[in-house]
Amino acid sequence: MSTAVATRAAAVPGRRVEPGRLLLYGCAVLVTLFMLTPVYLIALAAFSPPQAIFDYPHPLVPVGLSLENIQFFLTYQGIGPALLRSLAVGALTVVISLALGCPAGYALARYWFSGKDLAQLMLVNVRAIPMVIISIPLLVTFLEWNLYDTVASVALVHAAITLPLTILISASVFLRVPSELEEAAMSLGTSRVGAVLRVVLPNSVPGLATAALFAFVTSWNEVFVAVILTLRGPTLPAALVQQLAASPLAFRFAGGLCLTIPAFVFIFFMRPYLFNAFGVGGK
Amino acid sequence: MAEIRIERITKRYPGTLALNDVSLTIHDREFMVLLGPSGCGKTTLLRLIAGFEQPDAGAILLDGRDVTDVPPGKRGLAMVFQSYALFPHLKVADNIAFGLRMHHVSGADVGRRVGAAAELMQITRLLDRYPMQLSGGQRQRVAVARALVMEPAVILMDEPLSNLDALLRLQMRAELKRLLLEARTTTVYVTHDQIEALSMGDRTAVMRDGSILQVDTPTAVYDHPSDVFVAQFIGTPPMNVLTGRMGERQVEIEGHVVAVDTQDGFRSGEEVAVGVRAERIEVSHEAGDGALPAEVGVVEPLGSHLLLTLALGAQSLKVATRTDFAVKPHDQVWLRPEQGSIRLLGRANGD
Repeated sequence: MSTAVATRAAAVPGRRVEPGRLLLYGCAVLVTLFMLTPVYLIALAAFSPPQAIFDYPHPLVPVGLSLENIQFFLTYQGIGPALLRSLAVGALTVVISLALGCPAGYALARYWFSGKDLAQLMLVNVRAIPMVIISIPLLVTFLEWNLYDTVASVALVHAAITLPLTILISASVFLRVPSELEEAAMSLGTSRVGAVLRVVLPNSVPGLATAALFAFVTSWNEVFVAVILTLRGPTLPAALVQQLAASPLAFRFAGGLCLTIPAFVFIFFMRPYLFNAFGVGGK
Repeated sequence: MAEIRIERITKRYPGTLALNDVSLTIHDREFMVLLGPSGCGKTTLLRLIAGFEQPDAGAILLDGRDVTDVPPGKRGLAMVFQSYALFPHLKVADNIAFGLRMHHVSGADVGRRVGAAAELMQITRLLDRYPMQLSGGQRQRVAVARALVMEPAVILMDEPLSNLDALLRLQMRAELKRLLLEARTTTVYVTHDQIEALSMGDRTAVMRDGSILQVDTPTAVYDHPSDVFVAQFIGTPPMNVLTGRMGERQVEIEGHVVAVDTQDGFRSGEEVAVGVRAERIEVSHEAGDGALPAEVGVVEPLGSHLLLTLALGAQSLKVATRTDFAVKPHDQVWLRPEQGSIRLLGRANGD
């Protein structure tokens, strides 16, 4: 059904449009529908009255908006603290990730050093190590350090997960700031660090904000590490995983929506920078 | 107030020798132009003087003080970049004030000096704008103001006019020359535009492949190029370079003999490259003593003069003459180089 709608929608503005372009837009519409339909259905269910979920045939437009499900979810035992914990873990992840990632990204953007290509490759490859394999050693280590079941432990691992992309994004952001700006600042009497602080960073704010958002959303959505490393103090996804099987359908829809929204906000801001982030190997 | 001494500088990049044992002295308050095609090392030399690059060998002295290891901000020089390099997040006034603030000049002085520099560059009404809101010519004025406000001992300029359109470039050229003369600073100016080099500089250093070929006044570089490259790089049209055979105080070109003032160290019988400027050849319809016969190929009226492309035997040359000289392609004309206009530029087919 949605496929038919998409094809017709793409064909309507077709006054002498190139076939290739038409195909491209058609595919874009299809992909968008593929991504958005489940989200729409979840949102629909989350904002419907609890009983409406079991209606058949299910209405595709909202009938009788209700905040009951959302309210129920947010006030459910343990969800409020888990949400706050998730925010704290996310914020800490952003801080660690940017504090370590920006200097590394600057080095990649501005300096040539032996092993640079290898370093970039390894950065990407970090993502290839399955968390499952290192989760047990991590657990043991955090137990030894008395960090088990704390916000800090989850944030540390989340920072490790997000760091490669933070580095690549910040490198691409710094590459866009012409080095002549730094040189101009240096010739006018400041040091390299001064030039970075006074000229490079102010001109990199949008890009670095994107890197921060990326780190935040990754942390926000991460389940596995959060489940392994927490017991009494889970993050929101970990809490959901623990309670999902035993909870009513309305609860799941409301929880699902709460988890989804930050990702969409993030993608909206990230879009203009994303492609360049992966082309960082050009220099 | 500064004399720059560049002593035997060598700079390598992976795969290239950017500067090969270059020495150059730029006098106090001199306007020195570094001229050459792209990749000749002129910008590298400028960046070494600025302190953005470190030489692999050699030293840079400012007023006798070795500054090779001194960071850029402590050398007392200011630079104008080809891209202007204005700080996008700062208003024009803050761009100009940046250097003063870095040097902890007091607030009142900053305001006064920024105002004076803005007035000098006629950008007072732009002080509240951001660089993005300015035209190319205005950005260029801000960039110069940002350098001049520092009252630097040395101003470095890297192709500052190359991003302007032709008319604006012509205006700025004269204005920059006047400003820098009044500022009484030592100026090092990089360009690939030989007209800029000739019109602005006290002296011009012509560079190629990481070496300086000739350092001279514009007139000397134009009239007495040191070799074939300089002869053909400078001037519009470039100097005619013909191949001839050296004789005793004369050169034989395509079977015709032309007298020369000196032997310049060339032996009789050697094949030599002979240079002569297009405007220093007299052209007429009548044969005469020592005149060379040539056939007209192309006639180009250029307003102020007529440019002829001629065939002298198997060789081609250009001659500038008066616009009222009646001539058409395939005409036979006679050429007479002016007394003292012939240059011996080197052995033929060598560099």
